[in-house]
Amino acid sequence: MSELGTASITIALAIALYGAAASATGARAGVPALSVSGRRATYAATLALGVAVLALVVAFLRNDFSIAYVAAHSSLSMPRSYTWVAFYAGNEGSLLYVAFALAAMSALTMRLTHRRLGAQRGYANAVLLGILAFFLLVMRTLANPFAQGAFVPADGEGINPLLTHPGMFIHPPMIMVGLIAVAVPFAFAMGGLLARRLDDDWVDTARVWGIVAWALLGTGNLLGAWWAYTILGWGGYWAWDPVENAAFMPWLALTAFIHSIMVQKRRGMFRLWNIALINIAFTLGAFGIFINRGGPVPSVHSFGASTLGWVFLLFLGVVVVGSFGLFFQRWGSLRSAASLDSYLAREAAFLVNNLLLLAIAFVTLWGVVFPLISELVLGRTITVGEPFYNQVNGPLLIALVALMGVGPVLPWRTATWAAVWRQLRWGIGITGALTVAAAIAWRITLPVVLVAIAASTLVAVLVVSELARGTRSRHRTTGASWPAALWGLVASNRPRYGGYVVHVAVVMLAFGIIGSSFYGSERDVILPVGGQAQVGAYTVRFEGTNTTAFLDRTERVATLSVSRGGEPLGTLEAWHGVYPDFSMLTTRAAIRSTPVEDLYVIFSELQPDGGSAAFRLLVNPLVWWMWLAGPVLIAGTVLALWPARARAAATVRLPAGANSDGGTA
Amino acid sequence: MNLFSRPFESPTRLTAVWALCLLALAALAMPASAQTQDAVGLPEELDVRAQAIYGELLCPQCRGQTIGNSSAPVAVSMRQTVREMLLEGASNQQVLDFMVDAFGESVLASPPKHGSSLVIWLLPPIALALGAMAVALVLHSLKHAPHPPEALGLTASSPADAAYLSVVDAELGDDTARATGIPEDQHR
Repeated sequence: MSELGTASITIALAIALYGAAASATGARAGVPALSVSGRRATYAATLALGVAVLALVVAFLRNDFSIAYVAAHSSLSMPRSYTWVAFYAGNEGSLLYVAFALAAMSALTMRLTHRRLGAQRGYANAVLLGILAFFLLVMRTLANPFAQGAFVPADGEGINPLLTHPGMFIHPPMIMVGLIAVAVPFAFAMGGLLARRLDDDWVDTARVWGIVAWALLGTGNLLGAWWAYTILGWGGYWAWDPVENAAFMPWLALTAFIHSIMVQKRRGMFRLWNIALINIAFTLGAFGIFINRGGPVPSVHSFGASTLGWVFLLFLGVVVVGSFGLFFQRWGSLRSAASLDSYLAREAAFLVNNLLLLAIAFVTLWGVVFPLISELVLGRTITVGEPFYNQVNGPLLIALVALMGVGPVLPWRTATWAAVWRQLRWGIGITGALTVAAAIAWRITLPVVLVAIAASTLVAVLVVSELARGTRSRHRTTGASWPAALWGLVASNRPRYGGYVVHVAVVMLAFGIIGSSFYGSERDVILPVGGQAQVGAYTVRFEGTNTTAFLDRTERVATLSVSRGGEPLGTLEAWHGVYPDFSMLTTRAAIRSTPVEDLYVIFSELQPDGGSAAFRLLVNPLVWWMWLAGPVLIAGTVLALWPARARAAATVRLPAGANSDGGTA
Repeated sequence: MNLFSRPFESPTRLTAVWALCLLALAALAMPASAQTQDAVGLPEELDVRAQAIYGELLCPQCRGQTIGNSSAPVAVSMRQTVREMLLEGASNQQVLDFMVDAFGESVLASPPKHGSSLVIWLLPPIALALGAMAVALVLHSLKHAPHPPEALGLTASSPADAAYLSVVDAELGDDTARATGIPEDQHR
């Protein structure tokens, strides 16, 4: 397997280098045969990497400990299903995974995009294959997943216990694919600049892949938060940890991009700006890979200690210099040819949206980078943690949510204050009433919470009222039944209503964040068997523990009975496992989740006497809504992408029939 | 890259305060007959302040977690110290100063808003203001730009057409050059 894997990577590297050169030359000199050959190189590289991926999987399944990576990340006792996780548990495997994902996405894009893009597509393919070649070169020279160890150990070291969680099956691969998926719209932007094609033909491709990358990163981050919430055992879900930030920043830039690109799609404006945005997004993605895989900052999320930092720093440097250098070189020829009739237009709202998103990304980047600067330049160790981000990003996020309510109501090009007020007055009135009602009902007095609640409520109210208004007019004009009218309305403009659904998901997130950050309560207690403790309105009684020994770990389950106001609510089982090989204790919280609040119990440790145990008890209001936001976000994304996909398929089918690639080769 | 990741290894900090504090913490960490780890109860007003301070202090043994978020023994005893100091009438700043003396500046979850660390707090609002000015300028120039034909709906996509026309021009130019060249040759 080792030889097969290494050979596949070498072959893929050679193919990628050839394909990049062929595509670039083909696009530059206008030789169709070379362009076709370049695209075939992308397919072939994907195939070769597929073989490498299979080779590594087989090596894991066969417990081939002669391969150092397999020995370091699996063991005989590891359940087979964890092969999936072990694959990307270290640097080498995750590089292979990222490379394969990049190759597959490149192949898919080349298959789907329109040949009308001409030289832009050729250059884009060259850029994608160039990026792929970088990853393959790193793998081939510095981090070969198929490298053989000095000797063959009898058993492997096993998998990091923190990774043995359902969330880990999806969260890291989604983040990694999301980070690298930004390469596709980036490559098309670069391709446009290289080909000096400055029109709007690439917008559909860029929009679709921008949204795909955005949804992958968004869901990946949510899954990471869920993983942290259920397994890291501190009761929170987001700590503004450098690795979290690294995946959050490109997501912010992508959010700006997928909004701003709509302006170009509709109005031909912001051409320059959109290319700058996708450059920023990809640069932040490269920075994310550097932080994630290079490990310059300590984080709860960095698993593989790495010596590859300088390589990724180099990559980041090349991306920044290359993309922005090209951008500024073509600056003069990238003029948007549009104007604005009024400051009160959706175009303006999108610009403010971009400003806020980039400001949040900048604050986050600044918070990640400043400690590095401080350490290197001043020799002072400084931590920039939650208080900084909460205080600086908090207000920006609230402003962004408020804009999310108002923005979609504004018409394109021009509006009058009177017309906008007519659109907004009911929404604002209802929002005000709901906010006051909430303030009275739950005795909320903190101004920042009231503002945040008002902003989030406004979004929800305006989305509902827009839907209601549209459905009613459709019901009246077409005579369709109410559900049919609603469906017809949504189907008539899926990108718009898909966007609304995503906005609703963000509101759910906002409520979860508000509730859990401001109204949670927590206690650390040591309870003897039969002992009781109060947290919030709940009484928790420790009933006893159950210990099970496994090959690689000892599991303990603490049973607790829960009641509220004397009324029994059943039992909870809080779990923890002791992994002697890793000298590590992992917890799995017992969570009683309801839409109102979560009761969250962590079994921290069993006291040496065996009779009592330490628990961390938390009440986290509204967290339930955050995890519901994930599926809603995905549903909205699918809805938004649906027609664009249908249209893309339609535009692809035609040239495929009219002109087969094989004929021109 | 490991030169970055040594958060709490400054032995020079092992002063008398440090040692005393460690002793105090160790004693507090193992209360002989405490039934709950939150042994020192606090009136509600102090409790709110204590929670705020928990969020400002990092647990030295955990990566990037505040003492409010960690159940590591050192975090538990630091919370204990915070509560005791508040009960004795210390101000929030005094508690933070005490912890900085004991553990070094890296115990703070975010840099203080004075001295050289002020720059980290000042840059974001400055950047936001500059960004807002840029957006205002762009909007201003867009509003006062002359209406391009595209905005009036005369052509579908003018730059695309421009690019196309330039290609056509170039080709026509070549052709005319060739066309004029050939007759010249024939003339000779």
